[in-house]
Amino acid sequence: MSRNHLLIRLLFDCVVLISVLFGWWPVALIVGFVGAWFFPAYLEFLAAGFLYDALFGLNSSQFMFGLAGTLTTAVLLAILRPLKLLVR
Amino acid sequence: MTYLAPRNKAGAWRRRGWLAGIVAVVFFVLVWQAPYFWSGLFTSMAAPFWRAGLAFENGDLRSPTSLLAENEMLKLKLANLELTLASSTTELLIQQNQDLLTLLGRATTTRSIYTAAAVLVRPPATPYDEMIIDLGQDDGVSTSTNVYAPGQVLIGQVAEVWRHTARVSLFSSPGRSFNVLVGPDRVPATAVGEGGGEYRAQVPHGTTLVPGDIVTEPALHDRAFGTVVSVNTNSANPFDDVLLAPPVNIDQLRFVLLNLQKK
Repeated sequence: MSRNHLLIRLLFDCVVLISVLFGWWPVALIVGFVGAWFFPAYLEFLAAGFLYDALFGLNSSQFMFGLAGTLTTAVLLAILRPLKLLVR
Repeated sequence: MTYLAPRNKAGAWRRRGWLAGIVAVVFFVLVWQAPYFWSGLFTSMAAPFWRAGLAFENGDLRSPTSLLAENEMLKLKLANLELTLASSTTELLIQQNQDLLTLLGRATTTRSIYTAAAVLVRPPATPYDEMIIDLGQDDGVSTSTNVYAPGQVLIGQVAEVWRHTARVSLFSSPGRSFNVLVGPDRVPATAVGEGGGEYRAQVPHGTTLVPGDIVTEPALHDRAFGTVVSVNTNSANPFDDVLLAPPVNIDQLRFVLLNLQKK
């Protein structure tokens, strides 16, 4: 991975992290989704989902056992992987 | 002769699959066994960022001169309000109420102390009608501490406490229920959280209710819990569906009050 790619990836990570911290979940989802499409093994997206749950959900025993963020990002990553292989 | 070993792609995928499976199992066991560990850890890490965000939102990053000027102006306003309050009938009524309670042997032996807490994160940023506030164990907050919006409107309870922060679960959180008295006839009902700061309750068909009627807590001290937003009547149904909402917009709350009782 080139230096530029790494910097862009870090920038994406920062945007996703800030969005999750302040609860802008749709922004985090969109930026994370774009990141997962462009970067290989974008596991930061999954980590962001878990961070969202840990901050706002985990113990709520609500929708999806409070794991909505983790499960959503995991499903998106699982969908993206074969899609990327198919398109490229 | 030396041969390069052919890559065993299927084997590599199987190994990755196993690894992912093990990581997933470990992850879910950790989440199941120690959920408070993760939320406590990440909340304490996120709290400084939330505080910075709140300071920015409140305009605390202004110059000291303008802050001092505002402080002086607020002090003057407070002094004026205290004077008005002292001479108003509200104060007399409160005193009269207290005297009557003492006469009936129901004077409170505990002293309610309301402590203001800043709301660090609130709905709609939080998904389950929850709030994160900037007071925690060190400030005397414990789980089940009642949380009020300004005007002593009961909105929720502390669900989780960390050292410097706490998570408040609002009564409007989906599935949560709270006993209330609805309308001028004080019809007992159970308000069930609907999310988005709203509740739903059922009252017997024929109960006279109009939008704007007050909903109170079933306690000796009448405290507002919400107001009636709409009433859905169906003559085939023995109960009327009532939509309730707190008189304050929880999405705009910047401060809440915590009822820390002291003997």
